[in-house]
Amino acid sequence: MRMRVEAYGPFLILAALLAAVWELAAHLNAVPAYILPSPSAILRALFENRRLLLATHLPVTVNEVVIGLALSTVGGTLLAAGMKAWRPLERALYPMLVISQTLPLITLAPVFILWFGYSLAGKVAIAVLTAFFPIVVGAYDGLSRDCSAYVELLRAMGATRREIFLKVRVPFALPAYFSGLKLAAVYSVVGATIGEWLGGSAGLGYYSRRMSANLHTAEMFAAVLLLSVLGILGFSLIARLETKFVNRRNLK
Amino acid sequence: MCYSGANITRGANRLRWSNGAPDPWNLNWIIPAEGSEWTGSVACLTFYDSMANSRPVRFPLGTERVFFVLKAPSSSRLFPSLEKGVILLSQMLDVHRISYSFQPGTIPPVLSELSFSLQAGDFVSLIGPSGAGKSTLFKLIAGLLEPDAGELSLYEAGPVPAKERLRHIGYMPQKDLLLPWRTILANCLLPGELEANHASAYSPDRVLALLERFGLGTERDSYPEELSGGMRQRAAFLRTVATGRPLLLLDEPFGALDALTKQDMHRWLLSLWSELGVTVLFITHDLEEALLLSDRILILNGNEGGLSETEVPLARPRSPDDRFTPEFVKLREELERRLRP
Repeated sequence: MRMRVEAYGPFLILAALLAAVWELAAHLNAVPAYILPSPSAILRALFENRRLLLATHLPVTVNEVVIGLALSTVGGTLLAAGMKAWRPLERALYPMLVISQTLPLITLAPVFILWFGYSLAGKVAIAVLTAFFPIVVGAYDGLSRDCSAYVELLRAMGATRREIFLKVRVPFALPAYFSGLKLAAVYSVVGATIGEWLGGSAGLGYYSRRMSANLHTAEMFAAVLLLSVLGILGFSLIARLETKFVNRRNLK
Repeated sequence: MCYSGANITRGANRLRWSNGAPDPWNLNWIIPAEGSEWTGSVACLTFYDSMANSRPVRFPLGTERVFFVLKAPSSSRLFPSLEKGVILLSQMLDVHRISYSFQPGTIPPVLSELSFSLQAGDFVSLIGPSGAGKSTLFKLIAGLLEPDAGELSLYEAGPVPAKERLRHIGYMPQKDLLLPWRTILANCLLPGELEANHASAYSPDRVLALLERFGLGTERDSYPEELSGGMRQRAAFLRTVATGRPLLLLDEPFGALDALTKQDMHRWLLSLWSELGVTVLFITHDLEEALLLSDRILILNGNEGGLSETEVPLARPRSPDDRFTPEFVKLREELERRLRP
């Protein structure tokens, strides 16, 4: 408990302070409410629209994020492993991967909607495009870590390539892999939101766009708040997994 | 796991366990009548496994110490006919005129036409200046590299290719290379997890017992980073022993330790050595260490100087205090002279 207080205390104090200043500024009418609503107004909007937000729009977004992240994880991990196993694949694909991240997503998203339609697939595709990269890079960099001395030791013990991969290469790769995974968990929320924003009929991204168009700024912020919480939850879920699988590995 | 103190004679033999305890396997050794199954200086014995199966095994007459390999894998090319039982070997390794160059044809070879052999139970040190190719020689023997020319024979089974050697020799590199995310116990159980070692590796029970014997019993659940250098080296040595392979190559295992810890390790190894029943080839830079531990010393001179060999005529048991006896000091001087070109 004390550790918790020590770890999160400064953050909580700063957040409370900022919220207080924000609230105060809103009450002094420094900014019009349709530009920046007060935190209490956002919370009120969240509470008033809780059924719509939590029961209708949140599940749609969560669905897209989970599918997008799952596809990115499976695909990205396999791709990174394949790239490490076969040099020509690495040479051919690595530049492609980098290029895919230089394309401005916001211009690409409408094209994706055109290709994949207004259905779930379009949003998942954009979520995958954003979440894929950190996973591939994390897994690839992790598997590229120099552990040749350990590999040689295992070889001298008669280990097969498979055993060396599972007992040395994978454990060495895990810290970098989880870093990529944590980023991806956050990015996939961003990707799904962009997808909904540009072409959707449900989801928190769609909802926030509609609200902002109607100058219902407090409602829009309520949706944004939920999206942020979703990203934080994804991040901490992966961080949980990390502490379970990565014990003391990062020390070396 | 070694039998000692028994001079093998014809007729029934009951061997004694090395530390004086009764034979844990309760084996009966019967030397056949003269002329029945002799092959040169090697007698063919019959090993009775619960009196039901009998298999012939070979081993030299007149040996004081006997070493053997238990449970050789049946799939092994080395012991094709043996499924379960005991093999007694006299020659563990024979290196015959091997040469190796990092880039054959362009740069002169690191090792050229080296020959030597190891007998069962030997503790042989390999010394020589840096860059003479000691570690390379180890990698060649272990099977991580294949020589450009020459043959490496193992366990009296004839020349063995590198891939096969990898499965039959224990190799301990200079660094301890304990996996940082595994506890000491889990590190020592690693060899047994590999398919290649299923037949030879120590069982978890034996690893646990050995951890106690190595003074690591209380540290079995610690992580490598929590241990001192000496303890880590012991754990790495245990892991090598736990492969269950009868021939171990130790590449400067105590090289990184301070002088006092090194002495502790020597005292410890000397007290433990006879019960492990392994044959050891040991790289070191430390002449005192070489003299103290070994039966023989191989001197590898760089620049194609070749290999020379010297016996260590010091009686066992030895102790680190022997370093100050006049005999030891004289041997050390001689050795140093031989190393200087």
